[in-house]
Amino acid sequence: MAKPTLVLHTQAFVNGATAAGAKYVKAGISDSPETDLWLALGWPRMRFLVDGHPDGQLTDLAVLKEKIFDSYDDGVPTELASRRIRTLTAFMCDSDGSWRDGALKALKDDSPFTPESAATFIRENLASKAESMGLNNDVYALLEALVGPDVVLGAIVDALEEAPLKRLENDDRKLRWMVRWLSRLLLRVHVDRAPKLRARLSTLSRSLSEGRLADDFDQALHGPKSQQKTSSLVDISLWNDVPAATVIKAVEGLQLTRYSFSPEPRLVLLAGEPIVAFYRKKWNLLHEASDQRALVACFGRLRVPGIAALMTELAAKSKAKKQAQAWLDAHPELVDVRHTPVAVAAPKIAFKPLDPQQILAQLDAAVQGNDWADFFELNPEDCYHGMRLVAARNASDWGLVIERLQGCDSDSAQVKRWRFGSKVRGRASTTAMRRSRLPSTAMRWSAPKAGSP
Amino acid sequence: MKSGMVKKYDLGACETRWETAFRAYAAHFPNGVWPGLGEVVTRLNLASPGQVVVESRAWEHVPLDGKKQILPSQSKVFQSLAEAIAKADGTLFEPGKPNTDWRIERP
Repeated sequence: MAKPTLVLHTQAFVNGATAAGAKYVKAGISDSPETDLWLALGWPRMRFLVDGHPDGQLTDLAVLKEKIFDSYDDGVPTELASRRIRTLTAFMCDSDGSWRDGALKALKDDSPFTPESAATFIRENLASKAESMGLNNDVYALLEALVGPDVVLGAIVDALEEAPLKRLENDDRKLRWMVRWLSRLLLRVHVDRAPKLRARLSTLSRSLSEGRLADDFDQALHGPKSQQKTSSLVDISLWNDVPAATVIKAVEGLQLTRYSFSPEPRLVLLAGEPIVAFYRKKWNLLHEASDQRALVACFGRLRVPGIAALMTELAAKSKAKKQAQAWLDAHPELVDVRHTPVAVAAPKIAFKPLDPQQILAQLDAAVQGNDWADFFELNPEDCYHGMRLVAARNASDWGLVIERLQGCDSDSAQVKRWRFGSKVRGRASTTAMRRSRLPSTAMRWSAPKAGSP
Repeated sequence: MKSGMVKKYDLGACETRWETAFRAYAAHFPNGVWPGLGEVVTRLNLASPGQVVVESRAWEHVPLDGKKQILPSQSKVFQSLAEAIAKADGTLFEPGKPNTDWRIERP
């Protein structure tokens, strides 16, 4: 049976180039002008809806109770979005897991949101003292996907201005989830509305006494200039008008764990290639395969130096090997042959540590003795084609080989080798190429057998 | 050699047909020119079988440079390589800004 066609859509980017954050676009940083704009507007910190998803046709309440909390990382079925918003907002269950009446009523309500009903829903929800066990950012993300950022942010600001100050001073979980979404909404609202909404939020923020809610407001409105230093990679990714060096310093200063690390491609918009290098170092903090696949999906759309190296590493070692390899296969033009990444970087092996100074001393002696792999070509036969280093360990010994690929014809082609280690000293030796393996002048080849030298 | 390889592997600067073919071949079939890792490790004469900690074909090499010579011990790349070897942890290796590609012009 043919797979259904899935169509992704969202109102989050409805303002397009007239969104307040569109001024942060860096043309050419990604695979298309559309993605360039999305990055500026906070992608992927928003939600897509999916038309044509089979779960959109579910009607059995028992099945819906299970499915309504699925992560739907690629997009929430459009038909489920309204139920999901209401259910997350109203969800409470008893100790035996049975849903309370309010949650069941919300699950049954699949009436679509209009801009007016969404605004009313937000105002009523923020005014209500009712608790929810399911509340999270997804409520605001999905409302934004359905009715756009202007309606959602407008309703939030109205609701906050209507709320008694006492309630705002309460470090209410519901309010804190909402405040965390403000920085995204401020990027995506219409450029003409943004200044007024920001000014109203600033007034509200100033009226708050010290507390976590006030800190969250401060971060959402002032980013790098906020009083409290953020510990969130997501917060930093939504900063603007800040030097790249500040972003890099902030990112490198975070104490990241598997719970606080996430793929944030917008950081690359802010600080460029060093962020890609940072993700090359840290990607294995993403423990879940789905997170590693998300890293490939997000960063795979960027077009900055280092992406191919990141993908090569992910293709070799991650839980998203298939996706990363597919990216490499699909983008050979982006795999920079001059900067082939480290082919092997084995994680720590339980061998006894040695003294690095002794290793360096042996290498220094080779350089001082002029017996060292170099790029210089004295004769045509020394014509340089590439270099490789291979370092190896066993329990007590070490070894390092630096190889130089050279030659100007099939007779002179060879791998010249310098060896260092506990059992060898770095005199050069050579290995001639097997003629049968080399391209003829007619330039007709066949692939070598796997593992053949 | 397939058409398009000169562009794909950026081989326009090669001086002879043999160079072009050889470099395209090396880029396309690296296992065809570089000895297998097992063979390389064997040549280190380690007392017992060794494990590869780092393999790289793109790193910031310290070339021979006459009076301006710096030593490996003064290079962050080789310092990180020595740390990686000493601690048997390849992830400590920082390749730096690679200069090992044949296309890079050198003084």
